Amino acid sequence: MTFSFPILTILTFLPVLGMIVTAFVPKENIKMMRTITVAVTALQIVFAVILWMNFNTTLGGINDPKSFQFIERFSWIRLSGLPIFGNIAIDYSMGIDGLSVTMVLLTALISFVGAIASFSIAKQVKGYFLMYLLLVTGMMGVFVSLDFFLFYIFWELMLLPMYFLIGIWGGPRREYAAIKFFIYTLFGSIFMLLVMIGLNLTTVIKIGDAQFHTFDLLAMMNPSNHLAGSIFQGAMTTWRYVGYLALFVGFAIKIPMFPFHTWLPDAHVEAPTAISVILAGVLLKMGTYGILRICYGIFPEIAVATSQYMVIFGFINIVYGAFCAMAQKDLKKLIAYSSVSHMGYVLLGMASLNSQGLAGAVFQMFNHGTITAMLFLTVGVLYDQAHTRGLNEFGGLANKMPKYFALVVICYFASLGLPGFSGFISEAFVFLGAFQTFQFWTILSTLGIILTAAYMLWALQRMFLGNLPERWNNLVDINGRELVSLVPLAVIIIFFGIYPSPILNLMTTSMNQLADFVQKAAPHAVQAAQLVK
Amino acid sequence: MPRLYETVYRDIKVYMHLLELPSAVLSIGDLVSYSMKNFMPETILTVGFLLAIVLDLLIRDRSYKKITGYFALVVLGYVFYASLVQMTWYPDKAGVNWIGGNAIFPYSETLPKPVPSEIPGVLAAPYAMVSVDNFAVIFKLIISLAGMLVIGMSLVSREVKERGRRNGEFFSLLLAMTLGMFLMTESMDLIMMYISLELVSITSYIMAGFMKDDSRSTEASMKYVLFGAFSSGLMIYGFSILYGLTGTTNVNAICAILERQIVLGGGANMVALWSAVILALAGMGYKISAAPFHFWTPDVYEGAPIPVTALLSVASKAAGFGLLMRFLIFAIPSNGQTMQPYLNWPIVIAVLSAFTMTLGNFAALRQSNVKRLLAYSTIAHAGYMMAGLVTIAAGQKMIGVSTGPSDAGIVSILIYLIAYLFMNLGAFYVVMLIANKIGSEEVEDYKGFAKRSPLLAVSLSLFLVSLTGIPLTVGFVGKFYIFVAILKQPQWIWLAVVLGVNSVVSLYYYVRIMQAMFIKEADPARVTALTESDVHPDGTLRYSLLSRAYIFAFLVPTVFFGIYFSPLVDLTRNAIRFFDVR
Repeated sequence: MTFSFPILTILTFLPVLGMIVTAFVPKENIKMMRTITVAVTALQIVFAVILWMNFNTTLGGINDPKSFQFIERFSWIRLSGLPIFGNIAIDYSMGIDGLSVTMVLLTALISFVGAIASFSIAKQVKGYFLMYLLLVTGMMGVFVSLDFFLFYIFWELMLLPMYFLIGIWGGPRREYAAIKFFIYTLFGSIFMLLVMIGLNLTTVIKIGDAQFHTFDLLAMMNPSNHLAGSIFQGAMTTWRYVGYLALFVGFAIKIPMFPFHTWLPDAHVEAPTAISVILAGVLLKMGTYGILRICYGIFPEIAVATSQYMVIFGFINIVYGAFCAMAQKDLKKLIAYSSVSHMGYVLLGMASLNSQGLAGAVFQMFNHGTITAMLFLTVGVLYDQAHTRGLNEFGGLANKMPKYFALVVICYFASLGLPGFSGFISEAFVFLGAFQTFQFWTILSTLGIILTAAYMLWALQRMFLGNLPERWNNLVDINGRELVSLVPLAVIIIFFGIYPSPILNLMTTSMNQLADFVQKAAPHAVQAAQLVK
Repeated sequence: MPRLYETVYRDIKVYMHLLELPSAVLSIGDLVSYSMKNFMPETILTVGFLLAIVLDLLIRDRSYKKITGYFALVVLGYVFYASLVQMTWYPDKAGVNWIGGNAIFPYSETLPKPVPSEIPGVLAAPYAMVSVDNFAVIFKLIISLAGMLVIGMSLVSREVKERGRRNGEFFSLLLAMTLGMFLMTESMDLIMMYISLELVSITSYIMAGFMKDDSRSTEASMKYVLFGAFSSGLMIYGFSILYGLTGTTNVNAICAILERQIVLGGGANMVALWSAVILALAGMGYKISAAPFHFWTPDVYEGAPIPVTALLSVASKAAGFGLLMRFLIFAIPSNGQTMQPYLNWPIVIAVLSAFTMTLGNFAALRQSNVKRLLAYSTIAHAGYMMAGLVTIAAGQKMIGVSTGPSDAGIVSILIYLIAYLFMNLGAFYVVMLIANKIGSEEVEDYKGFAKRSPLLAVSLSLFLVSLTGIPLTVGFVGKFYIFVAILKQPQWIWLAVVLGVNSVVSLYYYVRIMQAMFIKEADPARVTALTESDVHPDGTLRYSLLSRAYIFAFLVPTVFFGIYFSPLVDLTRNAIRFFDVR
């Protein structure tokens, strides 16, 4: 579908425009900078909604270039000349399908919420908002790119702002947390770069009369574009396993999948509230999005062959994350580990490789984004006043802060997957899908639901019930600005809990197509396995 | 000697290709006038060097001594132009059938006539002292550009300015060093290689010890002399073995004769050949500061004035790579069928490369002095470029000459050198500006620097990010192409992995500088400025408009080529088109 104006480019680069404007605002005019950031992110929501309204849900996308929507494609770098070197084509290519439109909506929403939560930042405000806006561009760009090179650039573009946002505006151990985040992610992305180049050397398309090595993701997904004898050509080859695993590790670090998860609690605890929101709400989703879009799209047969291991990691994430969360005394750390646990459901759904499981996974990505954002915001509300997050230091807050308590109950219950909240629907889909493929691990994983209920309710009990300690007598209830960021999320969580069709409809066709596409590649896996025997 | 060459001509069918020379027999006068015409940039440099000395003598007033600097800048600018003119521009379409390059100072006055049918492609200037081909020209462009940028740096350097009386010798030596580096990249003869390397070395010893009143600078110079003398001694020993094996000092002739010995003559003395090549590598490895010949680097880079450090780290390294590549490509024969060199030097370079980058990066992790840290980082970068060098062996068989380099490897090194030119010089420039005002290069003293001069802090961070190789900076483009070159040859994938892990390690120490500038609070006891007048009332440092604007000479290319790098690739590809024989 073509659109009269380049809406994806606008969505992506609007924050850069905001950066340029912010750069000219005098240092003292904090209000102005806040307004610009909120306005930019609000505009992003408007454009995202326009996108949603005009999105054709009957088109699948995934590996079919024709059914992508809002496509923008310009040639960016064309290198031709020596045949030994090969011609290289890098495109500025954007487009969305059912998978990415969900993430675009989530990104726009969370960026806006994060912008409002950023009002509590007091030092070096200008630098903060410049970095924040750059981060938003990076996130949006990742979800709309259809060219691997462009994807990689946006992927790396987020690193630096995130490093500074945690490092400058974070908590006491911010330097350690920031560098840990940076190094973990760069480690993953270097191997992604190697695989990307390998794929580029493998994939050849015809542009005009000449053969070009391309970075086009959709061309890479089509085995007929693969050059005979090149590194990733064929099916079930060792190199394809290596390539898949290298990419997978790069994305798994971002999810974060056990055993690569250790950066997450540190980063979350030290990051300012708004950045925790962004981190949990959007950044973690890039990992799973990358696996769905790139690992599954380009190496489908390896995905089928390795899904039995992926489900184990999903299980470990769910249960291990839940146990870790239970042991925490710091509320933010608890939520960080609950993120690890909840991303495990996404892994579980993805490993199932059928349309229910995949749809559940993507919906869980969306829901985890909204619910965890809300969880972190509620922590921020309390921390701004009390300057501590120790679970055991509070008690009886329910009477002291009734409005706050009501919102907290919504997000805690949504997080533990109570029916009526959006988290329930996605988890149900995940289990429905996963049960068809891996009964054993799915049954074990349901343990996670019980554990989640345990740590969430226990935390709720310790903080909000019982007697209020003397020292918290001066706490006041939630203020208007905080309500503005929390209430929309609560509405969304409840709305999609009762009526999930608007979001599910967006992605159903795409998920069907993805499941279909991956399963079609599976016979190769079977054949190769038989040959080995 | 002519008889030997005639045999070689007949056997191996290597032809001198001098299109502009009409007849087979030439007079000495013809040869000299022809050679001098193509020797323009070097001649300008020589004359400029002499004039700079005279100019320095004529200027009495110490405050006007820096006029020599402007003079040197003009000379280098003209040299840059004269080199640019020497570049042969090939049309965009493939199918080049003529090989560029001009032989300069051929040995023999008897030149065989080119036979068109037998020249689908022949390397130019087979038997001459110097060859001006595109490969040399691109290096000359890089070197003279680095020279110009460094002169600009020197003009605002406190360390150079404070020694105003000796400014004249500083800039004239810089011209002499440039001349040496030019010759290094274009020499086709072992003797020429050695002489040009020594010319560069001796001038750099003097320049490293330019601040002779500073004990660190003197120590640096002394160490440099000792290591340099030792390494070049090893190299000339290796060259002498090569001469003993082949009876000639010309690299093309060496290649041809070695090939004949190996293929036809029932084997060459491989032990002697290996020792010759390893010994020669010692001298060249020292110039590019590859481990284990890197020991001088940290001390010299720390002790020398920053502009000299910058010049050594970029131009001298580029020239070293030019020499090394020319030697490996031209002197060592390779098998016509498998394209593998008879002497398996790539594995040596690969191991050295992995060793160099790992050592450089891990040593840099522990440094507290920024100059020393950047010194170790340049060792690591030499390792990255050597990884590209590994891949040039398996290229394509060229008719008439038995080695064929892989153009992906050479292009990647050239792109990396250009990227490195901007980002590394930029980093050194900002470090110099900071040292100008606070008189220190310790990471500790960088704490809270972002508040004292935001522009400097931001631009230094960008250079460091580029050195790490993060996208949208030119450093990423360089690293990207090295990865491309390596991944084209799957047997070297382990090297790509080592390189990748090393990039992550390098991030840690680059980020430490950014961390000090942006995240750490300034230590009130240590925040100093050399003079009170350098500090604005609000605590920011005072920099002249010119010195601030000059940052953009480095910053703009670093970012621009990071986003749009086609020009870089086109330029470097054109530079090595003459290797291509289709």
